[in-house]
Amino acid sequence: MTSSTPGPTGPVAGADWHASADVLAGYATGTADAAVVWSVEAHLTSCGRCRSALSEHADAERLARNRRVLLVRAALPEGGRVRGLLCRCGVPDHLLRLLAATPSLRKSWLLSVAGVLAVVAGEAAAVRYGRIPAHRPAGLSAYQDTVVLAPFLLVAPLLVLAGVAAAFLPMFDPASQLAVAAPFSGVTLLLVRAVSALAAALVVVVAAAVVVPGPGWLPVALLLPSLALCAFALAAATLMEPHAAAVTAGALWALPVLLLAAAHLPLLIVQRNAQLACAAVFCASALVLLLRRDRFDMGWTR
Amino acid sequence: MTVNVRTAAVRADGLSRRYGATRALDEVDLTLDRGITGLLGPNGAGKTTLLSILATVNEPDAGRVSVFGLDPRNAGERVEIRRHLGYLPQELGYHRHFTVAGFLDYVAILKEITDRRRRAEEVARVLAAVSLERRARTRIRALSGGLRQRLGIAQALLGQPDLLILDEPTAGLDPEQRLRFRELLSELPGDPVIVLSTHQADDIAAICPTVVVLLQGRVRFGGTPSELTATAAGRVWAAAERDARAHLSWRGGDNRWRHIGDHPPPGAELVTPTVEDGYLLLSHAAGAR
Amino acid sequence: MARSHLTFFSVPHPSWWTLALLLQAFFLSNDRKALRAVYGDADLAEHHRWVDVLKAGGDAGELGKLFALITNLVTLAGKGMISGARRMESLRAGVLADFVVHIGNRTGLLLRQRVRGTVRAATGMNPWAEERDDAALLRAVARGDDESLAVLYDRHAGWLTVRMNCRCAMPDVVDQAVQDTFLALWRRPDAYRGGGDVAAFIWGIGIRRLIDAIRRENGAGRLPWRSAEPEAVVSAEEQVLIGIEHGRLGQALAALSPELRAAIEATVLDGLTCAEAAVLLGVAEGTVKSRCHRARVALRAALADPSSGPDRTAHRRQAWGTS
Repeated sequence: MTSSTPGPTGPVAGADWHASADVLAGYATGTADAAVVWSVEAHLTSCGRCRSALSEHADAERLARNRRVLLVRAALPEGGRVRGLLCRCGVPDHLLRLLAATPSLRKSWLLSVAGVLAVVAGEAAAVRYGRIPAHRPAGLSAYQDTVVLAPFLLVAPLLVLAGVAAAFLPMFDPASQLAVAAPFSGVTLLLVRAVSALAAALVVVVAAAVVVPGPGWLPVALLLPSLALCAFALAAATLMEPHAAAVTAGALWALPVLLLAAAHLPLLIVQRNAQLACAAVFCASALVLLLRRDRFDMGWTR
Repeated sequence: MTVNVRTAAVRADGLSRRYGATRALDEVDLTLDRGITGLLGPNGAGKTTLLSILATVNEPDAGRVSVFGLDPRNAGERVEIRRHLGYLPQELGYHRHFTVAGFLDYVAILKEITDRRRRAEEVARVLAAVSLERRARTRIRALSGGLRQRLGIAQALLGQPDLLILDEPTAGLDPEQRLRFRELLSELPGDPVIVLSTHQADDIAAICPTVVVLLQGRVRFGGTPSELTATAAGRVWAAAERDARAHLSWRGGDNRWRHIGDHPPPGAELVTPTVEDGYLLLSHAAGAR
Repeated sequence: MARSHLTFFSVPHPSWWTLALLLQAFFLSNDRKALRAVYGDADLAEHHRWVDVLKAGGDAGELGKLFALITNLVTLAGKGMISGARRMESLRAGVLADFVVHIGNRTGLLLRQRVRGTVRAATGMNPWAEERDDAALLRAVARGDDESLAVLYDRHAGWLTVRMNCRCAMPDVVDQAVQDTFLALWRRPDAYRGGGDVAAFIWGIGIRRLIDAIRRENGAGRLPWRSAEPEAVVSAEEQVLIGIEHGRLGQALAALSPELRAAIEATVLDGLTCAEAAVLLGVAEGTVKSRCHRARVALRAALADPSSGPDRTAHRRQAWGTS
């Protein structure tokens, strides 16, 4: 607005008007008056030259710092839908980012678990509904219905155990030494990982249990044994080597299932008495875990 | 509890640790002050064990450690020590699917920086310090060994620790990168206690005002590099032929033989010893015992 | 040359048709006029810039040219199939064509990023940095190119920071808002619909992020918003120095009460909606609308008044009052 003011007929197009250096300086320091501020701001949106000139008034150090932080924030992954849902439920953001390091929450792991369960469940269904012919050694021709479920009952809680084991075994965490040397509570880290691995694996297992040709209460009946198994493994890890603990827990489940399958009564492992036993094991393990939680703060060196 | 990081230091008294039949550490006494201390010794001398004990990752069989006046045997004080600690282990594995920024973000959470924005600022700060800014989005599996080492150093710097423990930080770095590493260490704000281990004597000579030599689980020397060099004064000589009386001989780049021994022959051409010579002399003496 | 191939569209059999489209795409890739018809102008310019730069790049150039041509071929084939599918009203072909274009774009992005790195390393040139206009940069950001984000930042963060400083005096808050603005550009790149100035778009995002940042800092209280000082009066000498005639518009603005001016600034200058301005100013939406209306009326009257002059200002201020 160096020459003509806008008259009553409309503004004069000032296509080559540019804000002078003084004007911009006044604007940047906040000492310009309203008319100047308005005209500068309205002009800025369409003029790259004045924008660059105005940029000179910004603190270069500050701009560089913001640039660095921006590029880091852009480099961090944003998280999928599940994460967004959990965030809205109130789970703190940093706990969710810790989960990114858990191998048993990655798609590849869950897909392989689902794959194994699909094979086992599929085989059970196939035998049950007669797709696999019974041209087998004599003993198997008298195939009782429930024995068909034995492989599934063996495998499903073991897969859940495997998922939880991957959360606490140091061999699955390449940066385990950093986790030990860090102030973040080892118990919290372990529980966050174990619980989320447990939940993720249980979802897959329960879904598979619905598909398997068994009694309707099978999906629910698998929950307590899986929980008990994982709790036992964690508690045992405070007493012995973590690998040994995981293997012991696995064996502790596999042996009864195999024995019962040989006796043609595999479902006993998930029926009433066994459920009570699992509950007892779960409570005992939880107690041991609570009492010996300091062990998770020190590296696995003894 | 308050930590007095201004005047207190790191002390270790009578540390011992064995793995099965081998004695990794044997009655080690150590005091670390502000500034850089170098831990020199061959592989298997117990450097990694000692550093992992100082980093509260391992427990000693016997002896006491005091870090800034805190005792790692006490659980609460252990967590407090870890709040002031930055640790680069010797064999640091990485979650290979992580990006550089993602990994540093993860370690920052482990260091209890819970606020998202502060974490981003911290990560940006350490990335700038090790010059890895352009690689923030690269996956770790795509990084070369030297870049991974720089990433390891970066994660140790997160949170501006008062005690920095670096186990073989210069392994896998080429000479130019080692130079930048030295500059980086000298520019750290806050004047932390830094202890780094290496088996290369020229790193020690270049960076560390204090040297501790660890051989077979025992401290054989503690002092400045020039003192270590001085132990070899008058015991290093060069000749055209190999001398059988020397403890150690090798052919140098100029095709002459260099000897280190207790009794140089009369009229031998004495050469100025280096830190490495002092170290080799010590290690030979320890081996002979 | 392009015309003669279009007759293939009339052949009904699917495999002939596919073959025809592929051949057409192959010929088209070297026919500039036809290329323009299939590509948009901007993409075409980028394609030619690629080819020119890569020609100068030596070894990287040959490989890069091959890559660029292959991905362009795939994309072109897809686009040709889309138009063919539309003509034949074939849904399946349309879906397949979308898929092909998508593949072409993804492959193109990956290959382009790789080759860009090779060209940059081999020749030391980075011709993509300065020449691209803002719209092209935004498109690149939409494709996930973080270097374009950095270039966009270098271009726009300076004036954004200064302009935000004029609104809010807290430097930490302004820093957060600037970061959040570019982060929003990065995370939701489709919001830019292609019309209008990129700078105005960026300011639109920025002002809202600034308000969010201030609210986070301040809680629910009244926002410490800094408008232009109502009391600052430019002396006559300063006017001459700055070279601005403090004309009728300036006086008209000065004659507005602060509330009216704040309302019209928020809606016109900052581009906020009435609802957002209401939240910012801490009043009801209806109040904002009526204030804007009154401000406009006042400004129009002031500008239309032929006898306005400096001595009328005080009288006017009294007349409009403070509501």
